[in-house]
Amino acid sequence: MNREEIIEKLTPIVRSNLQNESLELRDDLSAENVSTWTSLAFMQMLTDIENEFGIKFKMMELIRLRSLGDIIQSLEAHLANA
Amino acid sequence: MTNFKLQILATIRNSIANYPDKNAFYIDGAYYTYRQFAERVSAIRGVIRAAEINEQIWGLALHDDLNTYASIFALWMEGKAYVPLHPSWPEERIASIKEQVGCSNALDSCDAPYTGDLLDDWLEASDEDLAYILFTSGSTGVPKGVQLTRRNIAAFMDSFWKTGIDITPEDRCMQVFDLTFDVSVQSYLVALTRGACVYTVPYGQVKYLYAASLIQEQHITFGAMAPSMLTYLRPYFEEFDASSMKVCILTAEACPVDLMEAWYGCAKNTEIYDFYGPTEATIYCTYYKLTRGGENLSLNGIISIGKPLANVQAIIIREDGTLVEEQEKGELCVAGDQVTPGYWKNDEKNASSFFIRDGVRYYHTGDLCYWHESGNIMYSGRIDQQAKIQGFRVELGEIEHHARQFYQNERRVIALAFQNVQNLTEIALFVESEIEDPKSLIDYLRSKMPSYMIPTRILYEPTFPLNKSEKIDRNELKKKLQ
Repeated sequence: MNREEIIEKLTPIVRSNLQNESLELRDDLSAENVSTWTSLAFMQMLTDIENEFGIKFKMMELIRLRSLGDIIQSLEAHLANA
Repeated sequence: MTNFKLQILATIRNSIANYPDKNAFYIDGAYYTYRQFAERVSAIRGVIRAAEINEQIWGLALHDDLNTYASIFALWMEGKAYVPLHPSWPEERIASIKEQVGCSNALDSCDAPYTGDLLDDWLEASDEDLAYILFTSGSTGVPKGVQLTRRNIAAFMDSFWKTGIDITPEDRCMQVFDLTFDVSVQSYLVALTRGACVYTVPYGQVKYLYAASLIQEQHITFGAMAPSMLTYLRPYFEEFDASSMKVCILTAEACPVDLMEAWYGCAKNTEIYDFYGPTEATIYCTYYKLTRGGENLSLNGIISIGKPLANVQAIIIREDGTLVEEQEKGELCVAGDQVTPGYWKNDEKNASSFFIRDGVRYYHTGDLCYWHESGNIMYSGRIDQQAKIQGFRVELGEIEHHARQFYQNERRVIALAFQNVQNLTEIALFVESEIEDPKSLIDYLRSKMPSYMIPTRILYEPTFPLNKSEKIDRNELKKKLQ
């Protein structure tokens, strides 16, 4: 799966968890610039991502996921190793 | 007798004198020594003095930086109090608070240059003077200010040390709470009065993950957390090493016993405490020390809130004000030097929230509790419409108030707190109307309230169900959330 395909699959998950149906996905989206990026929304978004992509994040990985760009990068790595 | 100057200011002054080169703070990846902290306190004190403004209460814009923490001590040394103002709050809320308090000044990450030591000659202040005012959610739509005096804080610290928890200069203490929330005060005071280092969680981070990284990578030895933070981390407990923690306090929310049993698995060397307390009684007023592998007192899966702290008196009363029998539920009321002198300029609320009994002034906590035969207090829920979201107090009435304003009082609305599948508390808002796009309603609510108060679910019902007394049936509405 390439980056574009990842983003396409990710878009509805991110939009619904961050409660913004018109949100344009950018690498720099994070808790710092999206007010709805709360602990609860982040946890639910990760669960949805894990289910949709059939992967499981490790806690130490999550700690490094500060932005959407980090999430995409981590997904690329997971899917490449799958 | 407790004394703010001796127990708070002088002990921190001692930490500065005794450990100038030890780290006082770890903030966003950088260490700051007690000397650096002292220089910032001196510089900011100079700014407050030079301003020659005779206002007792100063606004404090909250940032996760050394200047913000130094500002608190600079204000206290000048005999002044602070009211925290969070940059992420809606402007209207900040303006309302500043207007209520009548403060024209705010320290905003003050970076004035250091020109010389200004750590001594503290301005004379009475222990009845205020130390800070914290604004919490108010059911009428206007946030209410809880005033805490220097005596309240000194009494709290005295109570805290009498629990037997000990902190040394070698400890690494975590501060995960927003500075608008009073557990933050415990978190930095416990460390700084003992010469230990405070590790903070930067704003804009997902708190529970950053806290986990601090515990695991910085080997945190002491910290207070909300149980919901551990609920988020629970799926990862198997790989989480929290063995560096000597003491962990769970607070701000009801504490589930099964979560604690699981937490013992990661926190292998940790003593766990459940601390309870409303802001009005200064941070905590009761506590329960859990036993690893033992029987821990609980009710409906929630750990007991234990026994009163040294400077707190607790009673449980019936609606008519008489004392309950053992095992009989009633409202927990607390008294003593930790209890606030009252809400800021709010006679009505003060009249209803405090009462005198046998010459002692008590605060109505609004918490439904009973005495266990062991002398511990069992927590059973709220008697009003207050919810806790990640430790923050939320008056559901305040959310309803703003939603009704949005609809210009033409629609009925009901806000309900509910437990989601992960056992975390969320807020749902029901609107009596046909289904519509909630975006403009949510945008409006965001312009009025902090983000933790924004409902995560908006549901539309053409007609609200009524109960036998013709009132909106909240229980029926709640069923729709399952």
